[in-house]
Amino acid sequence: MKIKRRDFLKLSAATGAAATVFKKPVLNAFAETKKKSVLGEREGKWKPSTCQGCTTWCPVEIFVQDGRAVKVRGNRYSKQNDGKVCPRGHLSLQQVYDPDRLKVPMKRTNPQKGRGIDPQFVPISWDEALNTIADKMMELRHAGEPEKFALMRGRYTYLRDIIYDVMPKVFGSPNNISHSSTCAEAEKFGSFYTEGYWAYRDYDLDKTKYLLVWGCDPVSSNRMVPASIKKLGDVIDRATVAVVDPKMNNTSAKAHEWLPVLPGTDGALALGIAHVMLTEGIWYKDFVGDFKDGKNRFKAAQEVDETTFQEKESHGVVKWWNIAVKDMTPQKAAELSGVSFDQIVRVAKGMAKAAPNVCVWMGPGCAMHVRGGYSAMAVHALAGLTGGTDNEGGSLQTAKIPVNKLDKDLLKTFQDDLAKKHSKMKKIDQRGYLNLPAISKGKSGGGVATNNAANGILNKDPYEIKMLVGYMNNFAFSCNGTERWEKALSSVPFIVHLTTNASEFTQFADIVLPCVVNKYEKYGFVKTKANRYATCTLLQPVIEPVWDVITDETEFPFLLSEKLKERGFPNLYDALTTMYADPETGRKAKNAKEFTEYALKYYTAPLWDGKKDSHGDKINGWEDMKNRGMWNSEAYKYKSHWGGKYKTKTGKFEFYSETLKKALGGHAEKHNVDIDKVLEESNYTARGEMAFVPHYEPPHRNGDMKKYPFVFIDYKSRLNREGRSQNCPWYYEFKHVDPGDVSHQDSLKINPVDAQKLGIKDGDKVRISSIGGSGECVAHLWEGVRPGTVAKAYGQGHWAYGRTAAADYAKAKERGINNNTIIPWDIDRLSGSNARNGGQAVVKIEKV
Amino acid sequence: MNEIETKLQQSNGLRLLAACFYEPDPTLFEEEKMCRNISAICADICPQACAAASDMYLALQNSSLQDLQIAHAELFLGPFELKASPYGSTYLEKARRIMGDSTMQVVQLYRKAGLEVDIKEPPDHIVIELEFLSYLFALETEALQNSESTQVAKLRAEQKVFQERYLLPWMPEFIENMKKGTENNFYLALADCLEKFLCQLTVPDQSIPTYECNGTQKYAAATAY
Amino acid sequence: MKTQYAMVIDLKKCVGCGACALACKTENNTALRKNGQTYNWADFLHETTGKFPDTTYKTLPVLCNHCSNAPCVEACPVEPKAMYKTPDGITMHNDERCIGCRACQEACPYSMEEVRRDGEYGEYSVISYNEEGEPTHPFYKDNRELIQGCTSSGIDTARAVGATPPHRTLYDHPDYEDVRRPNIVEKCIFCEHRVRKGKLPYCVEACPAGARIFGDINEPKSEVSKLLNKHKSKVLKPEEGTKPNVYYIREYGVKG
Repeated sequence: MKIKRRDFLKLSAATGAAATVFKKPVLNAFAETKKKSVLGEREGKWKPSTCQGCTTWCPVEIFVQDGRAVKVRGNRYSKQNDGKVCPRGHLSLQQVYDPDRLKVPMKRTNPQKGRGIDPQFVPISWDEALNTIADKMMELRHAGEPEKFALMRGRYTYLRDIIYDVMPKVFGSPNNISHSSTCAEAEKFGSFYTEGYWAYRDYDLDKTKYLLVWGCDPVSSNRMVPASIKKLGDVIDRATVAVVDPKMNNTSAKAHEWLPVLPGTDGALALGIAHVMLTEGIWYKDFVGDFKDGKNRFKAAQEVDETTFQEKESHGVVKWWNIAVKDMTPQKAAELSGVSFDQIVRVAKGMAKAAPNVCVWMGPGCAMHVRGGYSAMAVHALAGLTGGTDNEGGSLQTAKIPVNKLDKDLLKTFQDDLAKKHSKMKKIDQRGYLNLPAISKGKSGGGVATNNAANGILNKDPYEIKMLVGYMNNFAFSCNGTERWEKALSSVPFIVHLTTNASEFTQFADIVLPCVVNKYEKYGFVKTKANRYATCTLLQPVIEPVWDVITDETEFPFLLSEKLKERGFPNLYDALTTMYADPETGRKAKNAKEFTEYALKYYTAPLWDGKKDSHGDKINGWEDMKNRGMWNSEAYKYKSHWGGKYKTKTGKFEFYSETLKKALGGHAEKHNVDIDKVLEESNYTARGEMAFVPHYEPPHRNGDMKKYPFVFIDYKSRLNREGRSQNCPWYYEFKHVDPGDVSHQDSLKINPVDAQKLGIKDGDKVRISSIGGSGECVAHLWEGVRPGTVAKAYGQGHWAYGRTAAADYAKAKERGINNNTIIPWDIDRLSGSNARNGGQAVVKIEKV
Repeated sequence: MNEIETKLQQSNGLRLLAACFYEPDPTLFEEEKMCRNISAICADICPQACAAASDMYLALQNSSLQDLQIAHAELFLGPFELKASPYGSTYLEKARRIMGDSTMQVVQLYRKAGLEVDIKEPPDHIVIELEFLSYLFALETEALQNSESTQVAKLRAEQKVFQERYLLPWMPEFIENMKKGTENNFYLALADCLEKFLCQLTVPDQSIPTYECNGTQKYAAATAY
Repeated sequence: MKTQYAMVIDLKKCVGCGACALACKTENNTALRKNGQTYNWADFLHETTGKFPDTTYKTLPVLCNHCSNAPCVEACPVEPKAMYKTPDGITMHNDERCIGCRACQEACPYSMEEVRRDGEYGEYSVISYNEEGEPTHPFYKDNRELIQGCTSSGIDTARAVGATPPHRTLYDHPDYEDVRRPNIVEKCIFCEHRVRKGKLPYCVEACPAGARIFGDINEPKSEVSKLLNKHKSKVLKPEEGTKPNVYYIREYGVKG
């Protein structure tokens, strides 16, 4: 570093005369900035990725300055969010720059496990971590018991195939347990056993004339959140909006109708609405059909002769009437559901008048009950009665996204005999057992029962789990009945956790591997839909990872496969490098980074390789795909499944579900019992023909209402990035954007009438207890909840995760109380879902 | 000395002191009469530093280029531990690290003044910071000459922020490190001269306590916003 | 006629989601709540009325009203004023001139010297004050590690990426910094660093509902003028005589 300008050492002279032109001093270390007014945003670049804060899975762009992520917006090419994000999008910046992120691998040094027992983690090298994991895996193979390895998946991208399918299957384990049934499986049950669609539906808000939202809050959570936020104002202007939710939510606050249903009685309310439509003769006849002579025979409590009715796009409406609807008069529905008779009639007539442009938006609140399967069907049946299913202004299925699939045949060639045999063994979540049909997509044991894995592990049934790898999951927080998970995890001898933060699940782990924050640092892709457009959107590392972390779904299996190869088991390495060779060059990956990109290219190639018409955006090659970050389909075609093309047994929209009848029959046959027995074992009350139609099941409440007099309502905060945003200070600062919530506290909403009876004042600390657990929160007196019910948003109550999330991480002291501790362990056995809604939890409230 | 001349001399002095922290070039220093100029400036505006300035002059006469180079490297360059790290952030950010937060902030101040760093050193290097302050004083001289009172006020505010938050807080420790870190008379005298010269500067607006020679890093917290 | 920038908030479109306020925090790098100061340049008030089930719930987004008759400007004691009106009608704050006396905060009818609660209890403050001698972002100055040697810390994170806060959006403006120093006040400046570059204030740009509309109220063809002609509008605390330039149109809910 030298003085480069001699004149730098020259003195400036005082001139003494103001008129003299001032000579600026000579600069050496500086140069003058090029002349432009110093104003405005500094240079940066918007880079595309995907937000996975909720299940909308928004294509986003992130503004990067000096290698740092500083702002978030929607992807400019998105036909779903028009370049906007919901509050979660912004909140996530505090996740990637979370001061409590793991920055190195660590291992447990305290062999004792349990909540509140310090794991005494110490940092270790990547090599030590991976060697230890590989050794443990080889032990299982040497002992001939690879099935005792389990992989548990939380939030994922579609690159999951690698860690979730290929890895366990080639290794020899059947146990890949997803978190899916924590979210939505009972909801999907509702649409599958009516219209043959096992997925979230899409909603045509632009064309709807009547929007019936049931058990969710579209402008806050569930589906297509930014699109819903954008459109709701116009929908309210143009159409009628009715919201069924036991507590006031954001959509109901703005809507024409709020139907505050008693938790768990959704089936009765839905049937009551159906009863009005049928008896009034105002169902949508172009879809459902009509009496042959045009005379309406649907009269309360009276059976109807099936042969007098000619159906069109549907199947079994008269049977349904006879079995389940005829006695559910609006009076009776009002009595059971707590929604007024007048309102039931008004909503039914309003919907009928708007038919077929009726959008029935069925959410988890009406489905994720202990007996929620039929309730979900009942609500979705209203889409059938109004002709709003798969129709303009209604609920829709999806356009195709032509990405490549996992090559299952090729996968099999890498399985040795041990793997082939053991990967077909029963799974640890006991799906398909007599009392757990989990009949996803019509198949006994076809779906996951995430919450029941805790039972399988604890009871060592079907066998012991000796090694568990979890990624981006936190079942000890996110599954109702947390105490059961704490016990189950404590009993597993060796746990590996791939995570960004030391979460509750991590506290039971033996090896912890720091991972990428998906929106900012990870490669992946997801498929999603909204506004009639299906979308494939990439997750991409828009910044260099802040710490020395790996990508869970791709780098971990790759690095592990190298270690297993060193130990004489090359199958996984061979499988990965062969199955995911670069689709353009055929090159095999030489390292984990290359592997990740090749895998992503393999799956998404049909969208950008130009070989076939993708029926969507035209993308010119891989670089273009990465620059845009996403692909849109053509608009979904209305009525794609009308004309007998529903994927049900009959091809029709089934009010009498032949599809369910077959599925239940198959399960019963497998266990050599009748269907009634299956329902009894599954904690359902239906017997006989009732089992095949949408009907009302009395809500199952866990606990004696004499001791626990309040029904507990759980729902999602609009600031929840699942359970992961609670270490973000902004979460608490803006918690009051959830109706009835107060910033910086875990608010239990209680009606002032009840509060007065209990001598509780606003802001009092209260203890809430159920048969599942107990904890402290703060009472907020609020008219948005019905007397006899109390409501609290899911999210707070972490005892780990970070300095902001937990009251005291070192002492495992929670901040607020986790709803999943209050909601006792239970599931919906037909779908395999966690049961957290429908008022299964009853509680008592005491002033502290 | 009137106000304008004082400002100008302060500007000159800071620029020459900055020059002393570059790689030593005794020929250039001699040709440009650097030490003599420093002495003259000190005589005008900072009599306390006169002795140190003479010492610098003598030391420069009596040191070989190699001695100077070795001493300079040991103090400021490495490759081993720097005896007196010339980077502000080393002192201002608690864990000794270059390109810390305070660095980002000084860059912003430079940018505001219409400057960008034009040498390959982090922006909180001593030569850059001293030159920046010199530059601000030069601009003030100009503004005073033109009787632009708003501009003068603005520049004084900038000087105040820069001195109080970024430059002065780390000077005592840096100067101390220099004194402990070398036996070379030129750099010992330079440390002394710099210390006295800075003492002589006034921070505009007396409502906030100014720099104290033996003060601790009382402004360190303020750099952290 | 000279420009008067204004904002119209269409309550029918607003769903109270919080995106505007969070986006503002990312744009302007405002601090976390401390010392009774929220540093929320955008915030919300909520109101629940009626008895179950005839309950009404409303959200009202709030921000600096950029009053034409601004008491904060009136109260600012320095000369030239640190709080002043720009020719475009923005109530601007000059960081350099501010002496942190908080007279503006006291004078503003939409500000509180200490915010104890939140919008659910009707509390917010347009103007916040940065305490003297305290860092603006102490969260990222904290060197505590949750698990020694394994997890990061606030200061570690800030250092790793070279900025505080780490997600700091860098911009320049002659009057204000992208992170404000101690011992001065701060508030919404209508993102003038964006507006003067032809962009919208960031909360407007980020609003997913399209409920925030920004423009020159003295230009009859502007969207804000058209909306105010078409709909009845309200301002906050008209009785204070501040002449706010943030207007609210339509009702939040169908039921009023």
